[in-house]
Amino acid sequence: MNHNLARFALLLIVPASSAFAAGDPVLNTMQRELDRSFTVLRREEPVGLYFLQYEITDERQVVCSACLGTITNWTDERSCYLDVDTRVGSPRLDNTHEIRGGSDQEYWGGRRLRVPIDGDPDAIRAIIWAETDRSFKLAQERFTKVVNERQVKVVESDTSPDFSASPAVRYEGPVPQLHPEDTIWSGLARRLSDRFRPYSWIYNSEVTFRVSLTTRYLVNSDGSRIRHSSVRYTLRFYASTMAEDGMELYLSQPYHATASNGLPEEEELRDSIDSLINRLEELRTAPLVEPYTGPAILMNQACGVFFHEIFGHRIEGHRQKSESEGQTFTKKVGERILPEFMSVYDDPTMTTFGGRDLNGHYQYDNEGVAAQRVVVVENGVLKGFLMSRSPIAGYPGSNGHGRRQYGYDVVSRQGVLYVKSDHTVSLAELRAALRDECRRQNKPYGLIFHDISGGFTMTGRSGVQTFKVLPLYVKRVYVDGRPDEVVRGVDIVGTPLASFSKITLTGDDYAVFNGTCGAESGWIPVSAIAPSILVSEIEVEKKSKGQDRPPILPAPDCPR
Amino acid sequence: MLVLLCGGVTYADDVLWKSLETELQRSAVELRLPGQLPPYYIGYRVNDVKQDRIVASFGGLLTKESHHNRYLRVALRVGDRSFDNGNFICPLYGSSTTPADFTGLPLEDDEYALRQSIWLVTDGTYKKALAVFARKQASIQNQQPRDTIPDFAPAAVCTLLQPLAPEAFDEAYWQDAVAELSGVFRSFPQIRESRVELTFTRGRQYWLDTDLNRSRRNDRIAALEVYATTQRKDGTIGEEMLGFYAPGPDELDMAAMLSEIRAWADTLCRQSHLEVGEGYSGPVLFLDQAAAELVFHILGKGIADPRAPRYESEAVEQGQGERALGGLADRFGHKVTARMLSVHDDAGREHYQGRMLVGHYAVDDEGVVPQRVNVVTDGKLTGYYMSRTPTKQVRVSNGHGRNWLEPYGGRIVGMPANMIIESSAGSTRAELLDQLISLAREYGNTQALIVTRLRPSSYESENDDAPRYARKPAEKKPLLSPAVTAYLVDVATRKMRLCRGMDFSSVTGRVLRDIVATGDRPYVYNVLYRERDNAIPVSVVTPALLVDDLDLVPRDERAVRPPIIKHPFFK
Repeated sequence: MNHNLARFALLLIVPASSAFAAGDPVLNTMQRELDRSFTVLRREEPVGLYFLQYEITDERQVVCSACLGTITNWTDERSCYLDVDTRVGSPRLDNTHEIRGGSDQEYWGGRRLRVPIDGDPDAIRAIIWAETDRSFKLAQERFTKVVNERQVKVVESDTSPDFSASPAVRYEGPVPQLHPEDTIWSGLARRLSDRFRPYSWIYNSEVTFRVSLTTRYLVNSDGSRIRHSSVRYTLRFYASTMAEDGMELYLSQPYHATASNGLPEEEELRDSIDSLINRLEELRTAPLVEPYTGPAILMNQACGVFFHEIFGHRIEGHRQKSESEGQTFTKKVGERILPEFMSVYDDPTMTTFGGRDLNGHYQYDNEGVAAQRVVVVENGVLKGFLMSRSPIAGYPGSNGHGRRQYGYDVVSRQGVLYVKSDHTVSLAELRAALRDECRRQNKPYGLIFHDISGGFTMTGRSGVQTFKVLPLYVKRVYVDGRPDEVVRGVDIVGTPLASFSKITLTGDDYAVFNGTCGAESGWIPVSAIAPSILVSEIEVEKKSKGQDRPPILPAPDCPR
Repeated sequence: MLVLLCGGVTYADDVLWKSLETELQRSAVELRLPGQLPPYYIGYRVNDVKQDRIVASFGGLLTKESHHNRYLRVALRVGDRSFDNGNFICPLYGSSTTPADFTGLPLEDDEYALRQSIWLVTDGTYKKALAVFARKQASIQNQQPRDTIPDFAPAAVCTLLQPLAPEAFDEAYWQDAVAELSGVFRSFPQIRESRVELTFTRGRQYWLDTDLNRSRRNDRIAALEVYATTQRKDGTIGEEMLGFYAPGPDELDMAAMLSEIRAWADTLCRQSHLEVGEGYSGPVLFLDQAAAELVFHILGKGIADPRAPRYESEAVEQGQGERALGGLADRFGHKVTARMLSVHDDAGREHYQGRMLVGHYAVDDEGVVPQRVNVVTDGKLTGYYMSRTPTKQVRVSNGHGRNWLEPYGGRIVGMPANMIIESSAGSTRAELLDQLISLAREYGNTQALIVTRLRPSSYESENDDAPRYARKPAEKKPLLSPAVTAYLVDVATRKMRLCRGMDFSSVTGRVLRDIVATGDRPYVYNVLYRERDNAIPVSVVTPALLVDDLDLVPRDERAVRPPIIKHPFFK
């Protein structure tokens, strides 16, 4: 720890050099303004700046949506957003320190500040200048509150510093060009969305293509200077209907890739839509499930979502430090929290798995730290947490998981969560094990959760430490050999520690869930890799449902 | 029946129109829940809108966006014209399957896809109408009858078909032009932050209803708006705004805008060096933009939406927020301005003495052709801005119904379009100044006040880019927006000096009755009136107005430390 502080002292005396005559012009502009601001503001009274970072997110997004064979949306937009991170005081105690109790929204609220997309250096510098002034003054104000608060409140349970050192990174990656193939995409969107046309009981349907090119420019007073880009292609189908009892039902299927040829061929996409339509039709007439506890299988992608929501958010570093968090796992390092045959990693350096591109991959986090593979659980034993540059007891440094959407402040977040098992069986054997478990518990059936839309979890101390996961497509598996039956109308609920202790066996069918996760630092791309799992007990409760009748008049006549 | 046919245009080949017509007929005949009231009126309004937006700051391009949207809004009534589900606010919404009131439509002309969306939103709106009707009946069953005014007025049948007019937008030219206009601020070091926004919105509005009204009108409005923030020498920060509005970007005069932006920026800079004054009491001469804003704020908004809706409960009424319109609605037949003034509104008029009027439209948002309305005659209120919602005094629409979004959804309200203020006793500018000084002397003042700019009605105070640390907590919105450009005139020497912006205090709806003299030259003012999520083009033509007695106080603004580091551009 002392060694780290010494390195910080050195950095304070010798701020980042601006000796970049060549190089990216946007980075050069940012660097000029950073050098100028840091030199002056670190000497400001009553408390000076000790860290300054500028990040510009240049995002171009092309979106094409179609419904029933017609285009419903086409947009091609580019925006650049600026984030200014100012730290006053010292790494030991600075303005980002948690203020316990009371709202802190004025400081933490999301803020979208645009900078020019044409790279005009004078205009960029003018905006950076104004925002730096605003941010620095707010930081000084907040630091005063932090210092005063510490004098009147009890000592915190984790007295770690507020900021950790990190080596300077210099990287200027290539910036790819985006060539939206509008005619190809719109044609494909029309054709795919047209497949929903014959089904008058499908009330809403949509096919959406989305391609984004994001380039991040980052400079900070540690001397980091980074430019890195990512391209993401997303294709998503969506269809919804309504059961006779007013329950609104939908299914969707997303595909993610880092290149257009990484998406499935049209024939495969057509088959996928047909499959989605069949499943939605089954759901429409499926019986409702009453509240139930008993054995269940979470299929691979559903298991990925389950682990992301219930486990992943609880191993984010800042939640171990905050006095308002539930801190489920904070004191459990070295203890067994999962079955011995399970391990969990978060590895944003992974780009693909099983031939699928991973949405959660990134090179550098939003604090200029290279992404690293983190062993979170090994053989069931908790080993560590996902760390930003905000240290916690026993974990003094970042492991490259400080992430945010532009406009928000960085916290530690997941990237690619990999749930690994050493005790796998085939899916058929997993189903057999489910039936066996049902018999053992004298249950007539178990449940298989094939598809999950997402979920949410309460990690705060003021609420109950529960989670809710929202299944979309669920089947009953009967012990007496009857065919599986599609059912509807349930959500999974539970508490995390109890739920993880019920995992008894896993499949060998690893699959990738790619998605976007929203939390206090905004929306970020994530992935989860997981096998199907058998849990000896899961609890489901009734899903909320609408009270409206289905449409009174029949659908308009379809022309074919 | 009123029939306006433009150039022999038919709608036979308009797929959107055909789709709306087919679903309208089907729903009018077949849509009903067993045991429930059927709809007695259905109206469809589609806005097919393209919008380009370009924003620049300090010579750099911040964003350029292009959007195309089609929105369908459904007006559906159950009951009958004397008592229906209308004019009643309660928080009810449709489902995601069958949305109520409003939905997006496909951008392409595929009849089946269009009809699918129209079918579902009509269904959701009908179910909501039944629920609202039931709640409305319940809410009044224990109340004394307040009035017997019908809920919905008949209207003369209108058929108006404007030809489909493609509208080009020279994006490359305007990208450079907006950047150039924003670059003006490179000459003004006192202006701390600034930006220029061009928004060009154009499209078509379709209207079809079961009263046989059919219209297709073309809409277009270009807005070039400039925002600038100065920090004055006492540390206070103020953001001000300047707007230029025209039917299209081609009608915006680049040279004139450049010149006006420079002059405005120069005024802001000069104001930034001034001491805060002590306020003012006495006669005030409103010139040009200030006179137009004064009339619009007090009279235009005051007689808009003349019949307030019923609310399901006090909590709902509070949730709806402060009522911005209708403050003078109870003054019908009484004096609302000085006797020398008469005011009419002529939404059908496109120009006034060669100047374009952005408030113009051919048919309102309920498919009614606008009529000239004499709202004030010799100082007395003789008309309202009427939609198809009747009032005690006026039972029919005069074609001023405009869509108005509120927290619990949208409704159609009567709104100003082209307000034209005429005076029977116009004075020259010199005569007005004489009268101003004479009045000031009568009050024993050593100074008189001339206001040339009020903060425009298009200004949005909740702007994201406004400096957050300089904002004061939200307060009740005053009746009149602040005087941002004003001059104090020395009564003895007649010397004018620029002063800091001031707030009007204690202004009431009677301020126009205190007008003692008017100018003899009409000033044409175009503005986009913004309130919450609404943006309605309005034009005001008015002479200068001399008000007998007003109180103004210095603006109460938060002072912050000046920037710690010098601006990077202004070395």
